[in-house]
Amino acid sequence: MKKVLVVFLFALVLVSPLFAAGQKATLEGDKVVLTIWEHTPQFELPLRNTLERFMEKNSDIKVEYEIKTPDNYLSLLTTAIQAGEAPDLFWHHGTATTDMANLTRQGALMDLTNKVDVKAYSQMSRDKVTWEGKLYQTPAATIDTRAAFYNKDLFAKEGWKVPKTFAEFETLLATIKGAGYIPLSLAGRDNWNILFLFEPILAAMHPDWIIEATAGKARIDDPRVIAAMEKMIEWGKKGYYGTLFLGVDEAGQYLSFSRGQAAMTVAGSWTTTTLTNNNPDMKIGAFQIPTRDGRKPIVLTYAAGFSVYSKTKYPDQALRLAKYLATVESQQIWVDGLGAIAGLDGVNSGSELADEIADANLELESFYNILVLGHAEGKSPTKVWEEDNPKLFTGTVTPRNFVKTLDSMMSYPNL
Amino acid sequence: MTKSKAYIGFITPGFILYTVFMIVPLGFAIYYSFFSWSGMGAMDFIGFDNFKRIFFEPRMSGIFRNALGNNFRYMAIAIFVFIPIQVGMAYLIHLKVHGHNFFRLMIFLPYVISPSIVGFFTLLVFDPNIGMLNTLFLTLGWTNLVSAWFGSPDIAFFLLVGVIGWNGLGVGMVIILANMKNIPEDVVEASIIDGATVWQRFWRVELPFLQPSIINVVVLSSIFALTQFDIPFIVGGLNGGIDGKLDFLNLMFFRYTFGDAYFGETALGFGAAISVVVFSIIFMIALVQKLVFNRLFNR
Amino acid sequence: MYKRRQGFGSWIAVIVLTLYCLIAVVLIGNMIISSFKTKQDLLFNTFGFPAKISLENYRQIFVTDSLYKNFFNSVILTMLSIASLVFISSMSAYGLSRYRFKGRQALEMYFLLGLMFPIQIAILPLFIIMRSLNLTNTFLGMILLYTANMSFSLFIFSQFFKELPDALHESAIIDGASELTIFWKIMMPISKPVIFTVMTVSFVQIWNDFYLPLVFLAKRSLHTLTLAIYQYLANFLAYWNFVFAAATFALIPVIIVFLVFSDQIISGLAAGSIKE
Repeated sequence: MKKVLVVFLFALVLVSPLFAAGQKATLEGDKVVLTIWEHTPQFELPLRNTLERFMEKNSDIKVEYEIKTPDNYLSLLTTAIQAGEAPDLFWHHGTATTDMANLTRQGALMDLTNKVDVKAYSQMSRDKVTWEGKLYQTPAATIDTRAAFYNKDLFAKEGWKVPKTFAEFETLLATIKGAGYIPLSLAGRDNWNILFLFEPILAAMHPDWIIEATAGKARIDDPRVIAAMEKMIEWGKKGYYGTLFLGVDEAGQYLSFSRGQAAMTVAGSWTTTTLTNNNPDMKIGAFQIPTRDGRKPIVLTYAAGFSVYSKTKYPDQALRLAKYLATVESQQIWVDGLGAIAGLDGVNSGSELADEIADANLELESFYNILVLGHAEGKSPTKVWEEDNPKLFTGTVTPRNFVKTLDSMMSYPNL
Repeated sequence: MTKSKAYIGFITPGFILYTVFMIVPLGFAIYYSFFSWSGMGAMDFIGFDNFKRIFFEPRMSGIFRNALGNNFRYMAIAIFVFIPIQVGMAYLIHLKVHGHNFFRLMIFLPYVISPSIVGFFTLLVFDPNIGMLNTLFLTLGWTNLVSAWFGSPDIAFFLLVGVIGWNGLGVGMVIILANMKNIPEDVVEASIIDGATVWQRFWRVELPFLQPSIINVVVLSSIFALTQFDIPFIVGGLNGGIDGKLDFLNLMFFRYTFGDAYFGETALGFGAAISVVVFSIIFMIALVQKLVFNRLFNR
Repeated sequence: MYKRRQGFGSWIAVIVLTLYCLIAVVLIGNMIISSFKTKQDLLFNTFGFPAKISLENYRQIFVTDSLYKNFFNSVILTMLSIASLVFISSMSAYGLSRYRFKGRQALEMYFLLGLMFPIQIAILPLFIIMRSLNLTNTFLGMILLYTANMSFSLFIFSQFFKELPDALHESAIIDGASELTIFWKIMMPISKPVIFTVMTVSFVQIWNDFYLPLVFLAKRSLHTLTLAIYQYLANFLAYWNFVFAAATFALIPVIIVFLVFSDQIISGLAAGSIKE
């Protein structure tokens, strides 16, 4: 027994320096150390690049970043804020969810109005980070959207053309199926990927509904929405997603495309890097599903940037970082790191593919956002949408009933 | 057993640690369940409203009952199918059949793989378009066996149970195996001399000695069945898979407490209520099991 | 010892077991083989042997991302946690199962509570407690947390200790031994199979743990291997070639632990036979 104890204590002594590494050092030498939190490893690269440039220009500040996981991020952030150990800067969804309202009510955000220059950003971009007239978060130049990605090599080989109208798109689907390929790979198991297919279909079939709903002048319970859902289901029954798509998950959807089994796939714009990295030899193109009369709709959501913790120990330094994050230069680094689409003048899109995606002439709100913005107090139509939309394909939920349920959880002050 | 007071010294350090780091936080969680709270800011006391919602609100109680049903079905399979298999495997290894070292390793090894990798394996095997199974069946021409696997509402649940079983069987087996090593040899040898067959030997002589580990494994399996999260989360997603066939109570807890990856709306009060309900169910079942076993085996 | 089974029945058993183990062999084998493939190879030749053995995945994780540092963190943390956990939980289980006192049954249930709720629900109060004790971002804090999570180990130890015969205890008292000595010198050596079982299972649980290090070891230099691998897994399709290499790398120590300890389990047989 003595031997065990001795070994144990010896080991403890050996590693005791690790124990001392405990408290977050906020001063290293004469440098101020800031901590910044991001929510997904997908953004680690652009974040790291941006911070490196910042630290080059500001040698008296060191910034350490922590990346959490998307599922746990918000709970960990609120835990840290509650416990009084919040990071100096942190990302959050802004006005896209209840994040902004909650955080401002808590007094957790520093008011950045007139301290950070956001004049160059578009209104939509600024709406994401402003609350009750005040600026609380740096805006982001990246736009998230959806697009139909297609296998250029395959299209060239089979003589298929990018469709100019909705009818042409449907014909194309039938043609591809006839040639023995999966027209559109789809993750029937993933409620998000289904959303990313639904939104372009809705935008292509009834952009008028989206415009009206965004202005609060149309309900969810609307035959146009039902028609879009039914169209999506109809394509499934015709085998346009492959016959077994209900068992496919997100990774399977992209792999099927990268392997050349599926000729096209509709996905979020942020998957460009994944798809191009998956099969660097494949030439990938993208287009927006056109409307019946040949317009090119694009469903847009702006990303949001970082807020400064109101009780940060180093407000001056934190503010300097916030200012930098709003500059064109840092946004360019970010957009490049993601290969993303840019929505700010002076920032070029991160890739050629991004340009193809952004080739559109009708900007539309996302269906999911409409649910978020119009939800009735205490109700969560988004939860119901997330839980139930795959059931549209199994028939457990019908479009008619689904829109009725969602509609009952919305509030329509303008109607 | 003695009546010496030394037990105080043995138990205290563990008791303190356990209470401070596990029970005190749990107490807070139970406290939260009576509030409507997003984890930040105002806490509104709402009494039992969270619980009423779980049991009586049409949509929520439907989801709750579906998940509970899945947990119970899984528990039944774990106790009545998996445990006999684990005992059987442990016994075969104990008897040192040919290759027993290899078997012991390969049965336990899946447990070592983290759930994310297990999820990845299910992609490799079960993906309808590029997975091993369908590719194999198509090459062999057995097209009637080609299936959507996890996309098929009828078999998705059983596939998931199979995956969880594959991952976790090794643990129970190892526990039972360790117990088998302690069966006194002389009693067993006496029975061999008396001419007992393998079956008789196993049922009448050895099985009684396996009491502790089988009780262990039954109680633990029940608790794990009711707290399943990791693998269903990776394989079926937060929303519980196709038609909610893969929904479990802790998945429900996570998704209502923390929201989803893209848009998290935290509802700590409601989530706490779900976990209090789950906790109470587990507690009652564990209590019943303990009492039954104590009565049955006079301990 | 048992005679080697030569009968027909045993061959059926072997075949069934082999088929079952084949699944693990194929999947894990595929994982190891795939860690040597390039991304292109992986995409089109997912199940076969590498067209060309490539070490670029390993170079990435070892050189570029320095995963060996995280490996080192995981090893230290896990080993110290296991030592502490086995020590404390066996002691508590011993006290619980070999002494008669009022409230013993209730206390047993008390210690089981830890298995019944997901740790996430209690993360805020836990975080505040850890912070007020200055234990966040320390290995000591994690070790204490893992030790506190003793329900599983304690339960297994208790069931086992209950079975130990009183005779041993009584004869040792007659010889003048203290309670502590009895515990260490007599009861524990007999318990080797159980100890090593608990160690092995807990080793896996702690090694693979993701959530607690995510919250309490946020400092990047303190990241465990499991956390470090997450960066590949989260961006799965972009990095799945690294995932294979990292997962293989993470698998090795556990296999070693298992093989080493299983020898001990076998030798525990000799010490474990209780002669009345």
